[in-house]
Amino acid sequence: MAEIGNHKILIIDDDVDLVEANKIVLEANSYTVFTAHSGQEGMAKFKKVIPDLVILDVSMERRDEGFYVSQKIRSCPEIGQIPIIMITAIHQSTKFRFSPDTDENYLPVTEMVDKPVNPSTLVQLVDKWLKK
Amino acid sequence: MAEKIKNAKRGFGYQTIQKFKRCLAAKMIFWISAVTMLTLTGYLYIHLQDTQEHFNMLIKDEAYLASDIIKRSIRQEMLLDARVDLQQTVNDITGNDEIIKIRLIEEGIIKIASDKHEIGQVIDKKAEACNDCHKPNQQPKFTNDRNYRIFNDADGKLVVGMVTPIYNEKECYHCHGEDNKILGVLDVIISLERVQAYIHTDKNRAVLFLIFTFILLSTTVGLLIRYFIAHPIRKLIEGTTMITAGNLDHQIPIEPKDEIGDLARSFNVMSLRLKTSRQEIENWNKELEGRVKLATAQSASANKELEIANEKLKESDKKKSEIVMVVAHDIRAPLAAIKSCLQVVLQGYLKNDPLKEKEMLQRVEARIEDQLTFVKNLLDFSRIAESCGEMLPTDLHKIIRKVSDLMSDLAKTKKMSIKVLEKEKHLPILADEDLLVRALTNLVNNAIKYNPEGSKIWIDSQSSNGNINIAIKDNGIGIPQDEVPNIFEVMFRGRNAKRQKEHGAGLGLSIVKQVVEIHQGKIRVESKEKEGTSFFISLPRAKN
Repeated sequence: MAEIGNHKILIIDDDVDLVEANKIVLEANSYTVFTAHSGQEGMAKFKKVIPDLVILDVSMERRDEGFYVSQKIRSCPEIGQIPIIMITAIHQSTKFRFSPDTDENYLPVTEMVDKPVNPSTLVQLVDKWLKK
Repeated sequence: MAEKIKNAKRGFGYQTIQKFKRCLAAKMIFWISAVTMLTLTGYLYIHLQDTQEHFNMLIKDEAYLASDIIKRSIRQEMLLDARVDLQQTVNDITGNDEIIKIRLIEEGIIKIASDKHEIGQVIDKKAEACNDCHKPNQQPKFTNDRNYRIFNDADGKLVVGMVTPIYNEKECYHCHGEDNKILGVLDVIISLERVQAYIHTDKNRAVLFLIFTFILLSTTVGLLIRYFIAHPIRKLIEGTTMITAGNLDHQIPIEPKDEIGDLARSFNVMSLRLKTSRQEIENWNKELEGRVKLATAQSASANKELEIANEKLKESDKKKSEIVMVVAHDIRAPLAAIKSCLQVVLQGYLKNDPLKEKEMLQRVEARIEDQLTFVKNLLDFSRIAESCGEMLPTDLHKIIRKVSDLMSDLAKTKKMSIKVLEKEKHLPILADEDLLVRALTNLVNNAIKYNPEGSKIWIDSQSSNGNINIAIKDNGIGIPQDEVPNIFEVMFRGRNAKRQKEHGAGLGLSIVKQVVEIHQGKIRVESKEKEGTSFFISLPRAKN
């Protein structure tokens, strides 16, 4: 467990309560968690912290903000190629279906999961990409 | 066409006749003249025949008389058989123009003649002139004392020849004996020149009379027909032509009280009626046209309205489904947060940290509170959208004070002040008080919720141009310029608002706008980031 504690996770979501809940769950699983509540703040933290994984929301200040954040992360040399798990309610609020497999160009994320995510599912997802 | 060519080939005369045949006056003149002339001619012919007959009678009498006189004149000479004297007397008698020839004939031999060359000539008894008495193989017998004949003599003159018998008498017996009843004949030839001339004159007169009658009759008949028939008929024809051409105002100017006059008058009546009918039809047509135009225009405008309504409906439908999406998201997102927070607590992630556990539950409670507000606003929004408000006269100051009272506690929690400026004593309006209070409260609530602690809020009101203007201003964070046009849209939430920890649903300003519109008012916003926001509401001022 101890070596896992080195993994840094950045959660970018404008819902402070959700962020707090997820932070508690991940910290309980020995991850170091950083949080941001907007795309702008998220990018700043990303560059500063250089996380091992990003959990990203889509609708923030702008409804498609998460998409831009993911592209910005990927455009960072070297540090940009980390796993990005997109947790979103966008499938419920729009008629669009997004998938990282088919929409790779503008949606360069590793996983896409619908909100809300059970604590256990969240941990499993993160473990899957960080415990290799 | 073929008819025309045929007529042309027949020449001018034929055409004239055809024209003549079509002219009533000409036909009348022709037939009346023809009948009259025939009658007259017949009459004159008979008259002339009678005259001739009459003259013949007279001539016969005259010839007989002349023969008798001659016989008596030469009686003595005959009794004396004084032939030289007899010849002399005969010569004397024929010395005029009337009595042309005298002959004494005995047994077919001319014994004495006014023309000496004829003496001694034998007359053939078979000659036509002798046939009356000298029938073949019969004894001569005088059938008539006045046996005469009319013929042309050697000179070509018309003459009458009268043959009278010379009867045997006692005085004659001494020479002729008693046996012969008739001793010879006296043939007197009298000129008919005078009579002929008279008859000729008579004939000429008759012809002249006929010609004169013809001219007079045709002229009179022609003029009469022309005046009484042809002229009025031409007018009638003109009239019908005019009416055929559509000129129903035409009236035929005919006054006489005869059949044609009656016809013209009834014709005039007819054209008047036609005119009236046409007028009626035209009016009806115009009315119909107008109605059709109106109906077309109405249907066009109705179509247009329908199109617009349809467009609006589509738009509102689209908007509605968008709103439903957004509402779903805005319900689901907090629920997701609530669920996650509860799971953290329930799954015992914080069992060692009761303080943190309590904080999580408080978060859950706050979010549920927000949701309740949201659902309440949603209900309000849809209720207001459907209601038309019960408008009652009230004073705006009263409403503003109510808003200020309601919001003052909340303002204090953020160390804010609400300043109400009353520039006029009364601001009468017609309003649904509850709705208007809620709208203004929403605005003030926004100002408190999204602005930093210590900000100021002003509520001004004053009337101008029959309107009451309300201004709700703050000196807070402001709204980004690109978002200003959208802030009244349903479910719109500004970036600056989202950045706050306060939760909202984007319904507040939509409700405000709806309420203002229900009050026949207008709302607009002026805002500058980091300087503040001002909402201006204009409502119609009610009469005092």
